[in-house]
Amino acid sequence: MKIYRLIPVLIIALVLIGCSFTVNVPEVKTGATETASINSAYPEAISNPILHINMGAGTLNISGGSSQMVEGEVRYNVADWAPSVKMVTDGLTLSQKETKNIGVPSGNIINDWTLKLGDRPMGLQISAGAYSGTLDLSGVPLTSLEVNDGASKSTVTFGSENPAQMESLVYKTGASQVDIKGIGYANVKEVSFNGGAGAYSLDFTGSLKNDIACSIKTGVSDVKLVFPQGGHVIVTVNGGLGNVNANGTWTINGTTYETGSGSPSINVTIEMAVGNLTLTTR
Amino acid sequence: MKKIKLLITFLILVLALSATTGFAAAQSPTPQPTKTTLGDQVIIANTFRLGNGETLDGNLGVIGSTAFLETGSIVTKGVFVLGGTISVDGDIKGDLIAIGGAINLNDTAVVEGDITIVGATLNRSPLAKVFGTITEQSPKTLNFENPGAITSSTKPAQSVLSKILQVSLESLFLAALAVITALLLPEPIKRVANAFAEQPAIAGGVGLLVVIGFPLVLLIMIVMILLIPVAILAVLALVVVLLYGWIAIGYQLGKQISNLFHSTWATAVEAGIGTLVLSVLASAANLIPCVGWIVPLVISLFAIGSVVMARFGSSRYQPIRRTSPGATPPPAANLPA
Repeated sequence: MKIYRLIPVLIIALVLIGCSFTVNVPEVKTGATETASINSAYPEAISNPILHINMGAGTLNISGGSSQMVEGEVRYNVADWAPSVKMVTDGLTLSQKETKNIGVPSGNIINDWTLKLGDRPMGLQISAGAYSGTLDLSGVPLTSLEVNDGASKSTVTFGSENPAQMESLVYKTGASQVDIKGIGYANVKEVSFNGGAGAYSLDFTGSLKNDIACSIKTGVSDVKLVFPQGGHVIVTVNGGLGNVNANGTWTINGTTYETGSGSPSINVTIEMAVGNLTLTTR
Repeated sequence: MKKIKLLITFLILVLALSATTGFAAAQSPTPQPTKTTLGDQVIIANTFRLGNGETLDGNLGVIGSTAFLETGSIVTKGVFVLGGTISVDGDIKGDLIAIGGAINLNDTAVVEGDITIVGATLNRSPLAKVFGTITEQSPKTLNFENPGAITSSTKPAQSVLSKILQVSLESLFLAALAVITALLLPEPIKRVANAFAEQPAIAGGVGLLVVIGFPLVLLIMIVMILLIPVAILAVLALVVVLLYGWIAIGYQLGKQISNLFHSTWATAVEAGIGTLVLSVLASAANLIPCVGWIVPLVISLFAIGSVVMARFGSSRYQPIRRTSPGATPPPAANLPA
């Protein structure tokens, strides 16, 4: 009698055996945690040098306070991810070692970058994969900032005034959560934000010195824009299936939202595929 | 048709993750400066740069990553972007498809095929050349009735192909729906996912009970004739519950994927990517003859059960605490005499 009870079990086992398959997943091999020190002086031959940071998956913490162009450390436990610094025509490139023999990240991967930037005017360009970034750029004299990242979670903070004039702030991101705080302190003229699907917050509060022209393009997303109370702001919303929540006092004319008056002013053009747009003054 | 083939190529590549010579998942930030790289490249959670004069002889997949195709670089086939960014200054000979990502076509960019954007953004310089058509699809406009120019065929292989096309597009639709749902209802989704994560067996059991009991209730409603409209609404409600639960399980899977990459993604991102992977896996399993349907059925049971357990996401699931017969009951509250 008991044999009959085994039949369904055998059938299920056979089905599972028949359906199972094995795949060989190339994986990142981890080892002992290494720490690489970064300490690079300004390239004197280049006026207004640019620091290029190229990293893959990991964490990136940047702040000011260095007397060098960049200093800090990189902790990693994948041997092939040893960072290197190279002099390039327009500045310095800080990137991970070039190799192809790496697979899908798994296990306890460590790839933590902690960097401090110098006190002389320079540009900053970051290219990263899926990473978690905390960029505290308060008081760092930046002449340009460009961030390109994939799926990420990052916070960019301008907590105090940028001593240099920033020509442009360009942010290109994929499916991410991005929070840019205190753009008013960035001393920037043009802001360009290009995002995929994600949650994005751009806070323009701070001490505005000049007009800001801002262009935002996003896919399926939740976008929150925060502006200084009483400042002159014009927001033009284009296209898509967006839902706009305007908090505070706004004059709405078709797809244009305006608040405050005078100068300097913030002029934002936003194009969304689908999602929520929240306008707030603070 | 070409772009659908490209999409399928990448879906299969991602699913298989096979260690073939042409596969280079999550490779280091920049490849070796070889002139020509043979085979398809899939970059996961990383950065990729194709330099001036370099050629990638194959397709390029960019998943949660950043890719740069510099001036003078060539991709001989198509490019697929999922939740990543790509900056193009070079030449793409095939199609370009982006889902939930950001595409930047700069001054010298050339795309010889079509561009399809789903829930993503296209930032195109006026000088960039696109020889094909550009299709921007929002979730509202997706059409799955006719997933492409597939004509009825006498060849069985093409029948399977059209099946694959359909499930792939359905998965994309579910992923887009998941992103929107997670944007609008992030906390309820998390509660349902939590119910599934904490008690998957109970979720499956509850789902099974609902699936068994539902036809009986439906039958009673239909017999009573007056309740036929309610029965129709009930069927629709079950579909919504199933989708809701499916997305929540997708979110849970997305969370695991983000943990795998040691990063934290936005809820909507986790839900979108997780639902896409879950749906593709379920659909792929469904293509296995005879027994393939078991996988989506089991996931559906979990999905329905999780939604019920979390009371449609309105409250966090609280597991029932059992006390043994001999256990001392908890002290009573001080009550007035």
